[in-house]
Amino acid sequence: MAEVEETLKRIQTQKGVVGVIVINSEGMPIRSTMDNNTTVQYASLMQQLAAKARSAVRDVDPQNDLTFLRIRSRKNEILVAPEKDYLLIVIQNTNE
Amino acid sequence: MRRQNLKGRKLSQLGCPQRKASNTSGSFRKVVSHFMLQGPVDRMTGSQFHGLEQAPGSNCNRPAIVVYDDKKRDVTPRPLYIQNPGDMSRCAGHHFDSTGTTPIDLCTLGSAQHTTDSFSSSILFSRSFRRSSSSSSHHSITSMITEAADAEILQGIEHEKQVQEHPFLPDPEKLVSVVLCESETFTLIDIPAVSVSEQAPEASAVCEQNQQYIDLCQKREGCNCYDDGTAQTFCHAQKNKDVQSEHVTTTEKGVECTAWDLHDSFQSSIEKEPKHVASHTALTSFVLPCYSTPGQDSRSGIMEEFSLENLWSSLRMVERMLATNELQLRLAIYRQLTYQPDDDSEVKQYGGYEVTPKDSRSSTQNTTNTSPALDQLWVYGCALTKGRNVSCLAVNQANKDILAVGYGQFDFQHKKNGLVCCWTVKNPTWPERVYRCEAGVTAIAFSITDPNLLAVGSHDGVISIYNVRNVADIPLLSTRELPGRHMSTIWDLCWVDTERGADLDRVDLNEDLVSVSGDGRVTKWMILKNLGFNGEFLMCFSTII
Repeated sequence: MAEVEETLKRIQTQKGVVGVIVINSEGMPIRSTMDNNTTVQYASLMQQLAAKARSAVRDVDPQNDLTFLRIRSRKNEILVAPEKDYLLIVIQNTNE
Repeated sequence: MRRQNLKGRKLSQLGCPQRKASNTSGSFRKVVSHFMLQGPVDRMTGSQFHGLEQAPGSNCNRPAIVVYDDKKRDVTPRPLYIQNPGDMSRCAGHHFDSTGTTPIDLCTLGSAQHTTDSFSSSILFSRSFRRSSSSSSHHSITSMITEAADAEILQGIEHEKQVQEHPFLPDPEKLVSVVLCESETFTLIDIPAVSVSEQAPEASAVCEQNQQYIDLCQKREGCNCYDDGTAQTFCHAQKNKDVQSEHVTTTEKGVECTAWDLHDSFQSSIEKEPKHVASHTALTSFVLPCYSTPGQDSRSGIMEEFSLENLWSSLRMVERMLATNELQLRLAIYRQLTYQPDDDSEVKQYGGYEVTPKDSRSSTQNTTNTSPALDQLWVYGCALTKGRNVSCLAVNQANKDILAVGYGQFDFQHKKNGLVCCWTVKNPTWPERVYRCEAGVTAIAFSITDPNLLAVGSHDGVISIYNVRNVADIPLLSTRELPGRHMSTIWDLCWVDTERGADLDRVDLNEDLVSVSGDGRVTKWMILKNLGFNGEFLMCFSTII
């Protein structure tokens, strides 16, 4: 438990990290470093996107599965780690 | 709910139109009439409203009002809606009149329909049907039931009552068997067609008849056989009758069927044995408080507890990704790749390397160097290693990105804990593995045949072998307890190939560990199958530096 907390803290202090969100399987954010509105928005959007991506990957080959999703945009990069019972979202600002 | 003996009950009917003049409270009656429609038309015009009379035989709470016309015929208007007896069993708390005169009429086969709320009564004096627990209700026979179908219906309803003993508290575990059987075919309307197919056998006869009629019509003009005449028909008064039926509840159900959905269902159906989930001993459950940031709403009281073996690995992966995002240019230089920056990124120069935009041919050029120089790419360091002295390094043979670093003091006045860190190129901010040792680490070596094994020699002469797959601090093997261990500092360790011996006790590693220590001995260590260490003395130095 302590290792997870430690790692979370280290991630938050990495260069350019805007926020870290952990949401559970129902889409409710359980851990966030950003304000409520942004958190809820990111949570719902990323959950849908991860579900769609996973569906796409598995449609092509049902034995395959999505391990990571990375969205690079002009201003920042969103890293999404989908798992069975949670979803980890990290937003990093790539221009500094 | 009492079982109802349906046969031979005394029934009272409510205003059933009777073509035959007979009493109302009769025995169980089969009515072959149409479904609760049109009151007898001829009575409406000529009859008068005679008066209300109590329906004989009914002594329930509400008086049964029956209307007779002056010919003593029952013209009581019938209600719009008649409940099915099958629904009675579902009514909340609905029970029958205790006097025993409550009729049970058989309408259709006991359908499991959800009864609607009370409905408006039809005309004037008919009672409104209310589904309350105290009132009893009367039903009337409404549908056409033939002789043969009666028995079936009775059976069906009895069966249904047997099945629904407690309809409002169904036992979710109990398997309820429902028998669906087909009833006789009722013919509601039979209108024979007026046209005949050409291939029918009587087609020719029909054609002839048609032709004859056409000829007749044509000849009719001047023919004296036929004469026009008029006749008057009765124009009976029309009466509209509304019908109310139960609301047909529909539900829609949609399922998105994808290829992986089918695959998953198939997999789960063929799996017989239960899955055994091996839980990580370090992280079995983790409690995360909700909304650690201030100013959140009242959801902070919810604590979620779920097993997070994967969360930690995801977090570490994310950490590496974040670090590599920062390091992109430097990593590209390290790996000697050409680096193409994004249009929006602002990294243009690093050290002596200038990153030119995409449209030029080579993106990294060495521009300013005239004399040999070194550009520092990155530094491995963190809070753990601050102030420590690096004593030894080893690069993993299988994965050249991994660098094991041993931290230990060379001067022996200060006794400090030793530390072994496995760094990776992808993350210079925090090591992937941290192993703490009791004494300062002086020698370190990765095995070649099995790249997981890392041999660590420390200041107090103890050799430990770690498996870098494990995160825990515990070495796989250690010479601390062995009698042949070194007494002084291990200065160097080396993994040496050996020939395969016929010794079956040894692990088939093909490698032995040779150590040189400050006590002047060179020892060869072999790893036994029961995870033991065996030291074999090789040679001895006479002078110690």
